[in-house]
Amino acid sequence: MNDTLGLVIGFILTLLIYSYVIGDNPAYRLAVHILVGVSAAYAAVLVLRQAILPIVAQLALNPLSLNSLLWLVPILLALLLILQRLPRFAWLGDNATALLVGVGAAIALMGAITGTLLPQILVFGDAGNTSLSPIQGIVTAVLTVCTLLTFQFTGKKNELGEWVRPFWQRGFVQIGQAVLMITFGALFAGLLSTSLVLLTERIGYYFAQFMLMLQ
Amino acid sequence: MLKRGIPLIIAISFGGLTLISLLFSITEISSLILEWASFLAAVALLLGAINLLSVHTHRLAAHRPVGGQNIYSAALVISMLVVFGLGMTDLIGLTNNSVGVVFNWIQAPLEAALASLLAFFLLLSGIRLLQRQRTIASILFLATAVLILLSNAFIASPILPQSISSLFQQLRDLIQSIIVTSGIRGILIGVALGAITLSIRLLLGLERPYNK
Repeated sequence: MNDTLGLVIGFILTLLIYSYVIGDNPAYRLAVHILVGVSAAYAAVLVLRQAILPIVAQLALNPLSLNSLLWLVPILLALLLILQRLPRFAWLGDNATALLVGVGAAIALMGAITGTLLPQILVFGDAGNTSLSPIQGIVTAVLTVCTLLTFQFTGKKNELGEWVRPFWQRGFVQIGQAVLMITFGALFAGLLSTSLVLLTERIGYYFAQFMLMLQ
Repeated sequence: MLKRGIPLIIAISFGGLTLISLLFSITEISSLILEWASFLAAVALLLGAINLLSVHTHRLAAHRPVGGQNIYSAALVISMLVVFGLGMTDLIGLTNNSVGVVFNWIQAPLEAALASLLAFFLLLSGIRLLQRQRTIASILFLATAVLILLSNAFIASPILPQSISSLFQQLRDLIQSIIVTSGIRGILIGVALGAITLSIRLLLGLERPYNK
């Protein structure tokens, strides 16, 4: 019974979402608002249960230990964050935001260097780890540099006051732009295939479930 | 001075401390700071959810609804309160995993339906691109997309002769292994360089998004 109820609710909500195919309409908007409400509340409940309450319980067990005293700093910052709702004290919440920004920047810096930049550079020199021939490897390296040059936006103004790239860069940038367009095209095709698979899976799932119910 | 100075000191000192502890693997400090940051992020998320609820409750109480927005706000507020309520009853032991049931019955089907609708959005945007912007770049973009989709279809098709499907497979593999790899690698390195620059600016206090 419960499974059937869940199936019917899910099917109705799916139909509300698919109604967007005929254009933006109240049924679609209603479904999206329900999704936003449920997702936000679900995230809040999850965070409360798994991130906030365990720490509160841990501090309540032994409030005078060094670990508990150290936790006074984030608790004070959290209280300042709550004060942000009062316009007069809103600036106090900036302190908590500053901690998050500072820690986030440090993590992002380390992540970008060790997680992206170094592996991407080292893969060029690792001949054993690639199926490309040496010529294909060189072409890939040149095309990567051309793509990177596309993101360089420094230049000079010409006599007409227009911004132009240095002369030597222009050809490389055009190649880089073409590489980017081909890349985006391939990614677009991959995404389209994946979402088509999802679409058929959804339709197939409900069809199979309802056939089972009818049997 | 106080309003702008203290957040700057907090950002630089905690950012620097985290960076040093991560660089030199001082796990005691890095894990403590990361736990603090996770706790603060959790509180911020909770406050964000409460703010969403408060905005839509105010909209619901407005005397002049704009374009029937009251109904949507009511749906959002009710769905939020129901999930909050079930979360609380789960917490005190009145119900067992009722939030999980709501997730399986409502959130998962809605998310799956939205994700599958992406095919429709993508097709629509591709057609619009062809209608509005007939530049070399857009033609290259769409031609690649069509070529990859056709190649995938031809390779999987048992009707076509082996020679034609293998030709399409070679063409697709060549595009994927050289051009797409170069493009993605260029984008990733570009993003990493941008992230490094922004992070250094934040850690030096040259960017201050926390000072409103």
